[in-house]
Amino acid sequence: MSVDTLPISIGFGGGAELLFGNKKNFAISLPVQEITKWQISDLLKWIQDNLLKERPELFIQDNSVRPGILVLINDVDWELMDTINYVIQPNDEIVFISTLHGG
Amino acid sequence: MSSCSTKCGKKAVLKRPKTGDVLCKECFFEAFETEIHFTITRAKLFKAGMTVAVAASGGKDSTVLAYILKILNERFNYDLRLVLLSIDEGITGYRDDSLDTVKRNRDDYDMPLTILSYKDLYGWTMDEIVAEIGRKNNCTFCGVFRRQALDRGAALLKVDCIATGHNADDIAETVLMNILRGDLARLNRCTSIITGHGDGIARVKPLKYTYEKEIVMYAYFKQLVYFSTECIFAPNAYRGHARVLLKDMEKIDPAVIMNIIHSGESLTVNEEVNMPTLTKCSRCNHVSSQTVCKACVLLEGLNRGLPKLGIGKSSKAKKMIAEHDKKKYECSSSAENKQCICKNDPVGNSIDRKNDVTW
Amino acid sequence: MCSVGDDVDEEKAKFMQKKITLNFTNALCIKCRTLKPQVILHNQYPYCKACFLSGTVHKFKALLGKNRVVQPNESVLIHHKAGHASTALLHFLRTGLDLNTPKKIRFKPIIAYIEDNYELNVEDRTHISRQVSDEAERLNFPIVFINLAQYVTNKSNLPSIVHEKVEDLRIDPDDNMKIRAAVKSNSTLTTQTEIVHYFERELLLKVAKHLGCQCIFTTDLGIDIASQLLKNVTLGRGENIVYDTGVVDSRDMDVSVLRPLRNFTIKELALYNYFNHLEPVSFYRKTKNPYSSMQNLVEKFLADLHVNYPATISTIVRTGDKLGVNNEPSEDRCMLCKVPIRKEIESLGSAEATNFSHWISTQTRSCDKSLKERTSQILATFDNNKYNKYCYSCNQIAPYLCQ
Repeated sequence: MSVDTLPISIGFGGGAELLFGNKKNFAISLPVQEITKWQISDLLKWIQDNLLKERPELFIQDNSVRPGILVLINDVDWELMDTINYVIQPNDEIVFISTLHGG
Repeated sequence: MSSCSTKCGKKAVLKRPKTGDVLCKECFFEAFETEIHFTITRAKLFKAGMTVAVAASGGKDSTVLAYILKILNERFNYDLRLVLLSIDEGITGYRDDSLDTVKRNRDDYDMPLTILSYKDLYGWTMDEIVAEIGRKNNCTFCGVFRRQALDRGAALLKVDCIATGHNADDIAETVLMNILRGDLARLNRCTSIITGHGDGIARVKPLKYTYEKEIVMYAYFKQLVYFSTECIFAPNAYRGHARVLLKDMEKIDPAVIMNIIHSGESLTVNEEVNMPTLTKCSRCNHVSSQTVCKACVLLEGLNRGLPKLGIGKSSKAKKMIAEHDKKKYECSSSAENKQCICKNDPVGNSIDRKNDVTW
Repeated sequence: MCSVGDDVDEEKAKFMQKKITLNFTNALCIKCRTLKPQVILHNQYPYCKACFLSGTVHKFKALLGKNRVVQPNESVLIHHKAGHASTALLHFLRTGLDLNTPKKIRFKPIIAYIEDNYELNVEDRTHISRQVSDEAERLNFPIVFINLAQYVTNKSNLPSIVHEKVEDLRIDPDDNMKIRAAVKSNSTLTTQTEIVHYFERELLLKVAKHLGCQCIFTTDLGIDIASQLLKNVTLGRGENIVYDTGVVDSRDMDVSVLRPLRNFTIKELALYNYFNHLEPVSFYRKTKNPYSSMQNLVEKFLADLHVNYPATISTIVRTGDKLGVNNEPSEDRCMLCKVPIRKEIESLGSAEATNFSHWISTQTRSCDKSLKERTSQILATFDNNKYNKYCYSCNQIAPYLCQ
């Protein structure tokens, strides 16, 4: 039986949720027809197109996150896992924590 | 524009970045010149009867410096003997034109000129050095060699001090850079208007409080000839970041340059911090913080085909030389029963090493 | 003359380290060397979650232990600034207070929230204040609220503007105007920012005294220290660096200021909060135009430089720790920043050179005198005015105070 979606959960914290209508958690199924191997860089574009409500410049810069946004993949710092090139696995939990919001 | 701040009635031609006052051409000349005179006398840079070598590069700072020193020397009877000292690094294109300018300075200002070349002093031109080591550390070589060359030239001419054209912008930029890089030794020294007395020939900076913008304006209005191009080998140095910051800050408030110099002057490094002590190089006798000075180490590297010698910590230099010697003098045959002459002397102790550097 | 080569020192070539990308595929936590790392700090050091958390708490306690400015049973004012740093600090303190060991924290923290977001609208400001209040309540700390604009308008009646309940905090749409009214309208944003900064410090000290606190904790991180240092350099405040960026600021005779988070990065504290399931108070900050003031420019410069040269901030902080001041302090203190005013130095300095430039640029020259005579006269009549009320830098901004 072939799998036709990639289920993941996305979380936002540290004020990043303000950019996503104040919602902190999203359960997502990514389509695998056009992109068979989803990397974080692909996910970022998808988030920008589908979830981001405002101020994209506070979240995305070039093809990565804006400096100041921390990314954890299953509670592990993405810098330990090749950042934007990491290939997303089913049921991964990807959390974005902003350090740009607040005093 | 408005009229001159001195209320002389004439139309103002520039706004002084240091204070915001506006001046007409004549009052600007007078203010510019008198301020340098004030710096010289107030900071006691010279003594009557001294011979002063002006470090001349053909650029705006040294051209204006030579011009001003000549005028002030005559106007206020400093009783100095002024000479021009120029260094030829041997960079085709860059140096040829600037040396022509220096020669013009010699003729226009009627000052004797001495040109020392890296080729004469060290046996290498910068063109040759870059061909040998590439463009990664070439500025290190040039900086070290030039510093020594000026000292050697000054000693040769038996001058009492060297006057350099460092201006306020240069010094502010250096203060910022040294803070960004944590270079405490340099931070402590870089705002001093007189450096190096006690360890050789003193260097003074009469233009320490003169803004680069005013130097350019002065040279322009007085129609002084100078040469201004970036060295073709200069890379995108880290200093560039400090420079951009300074220029951006100057747009917001030009007084920032004097503020930074003030901060630099009021800071000092706490005594507990380790500062290097000075001695004399065992090879060339120049002042150094190591037994063999940086210039000699770099030269040794060039001559032995070890381009990285001297780049980085000096302790590594010793190791590199030891390894190089080992390769040079040890027998390279791996045969069990050596038949070469090395069989009685495998490490090459009997080979004449009188031309090698001693450490 | 080219000065690029001047950057090399005789002993070691000092270059800022550019950001390096390392491979961590088979790395282990550098502390326990047993578990796989979950966090990486300063782009170089991998830690497992447990070691990261214990290391962070330990770092905090070590600084407190090393700088014993607080005595047991003393009250300490915590300057809350809404964000990761404040949340983490409160959690460190709460954990320390709740211990049942001899290492338990024995001083008494009180939070002070100075409402200074007068650039935002009333609704957002009220919402933020409420969130701060909730956070204090959750972590079980007493808290007071003060509106900076109210203080600036009337400095004499402090008790009337210090509130224990967030509902009593008055937030007005014209607070922005009140702040601006305290500084002359022809001042630059740089000057206004400086002056407001000193008002805030003044307020914080007064609140501390009002509540009987002998010490204030700030939430300044490494980047804030580095930023303040550079700002001080560019504003001619070299003498203030020791006070404004050091671990302890004891300018005030009664109240010391301690900066316990100065060796932390925001990443460390954001991850600390995340792993402890803490959400900081967050809000949109108004984007600052970097070219509108010296302070904004320095902040942007540092943030950008740090991305490519990750050692920047720690280098600047360490440099600052080794700096002292050049000459003897007098008894007098600057009226605004309270730094001891330095005694007159004999040698020529930047201040005197600037004064002379201004002097000579405003002297009317009599054309019938010779150049030499004019110069002698200018030199003879120059009087380097000494500052007795303010330090060098405050002297430049003092004319813009509306007293």
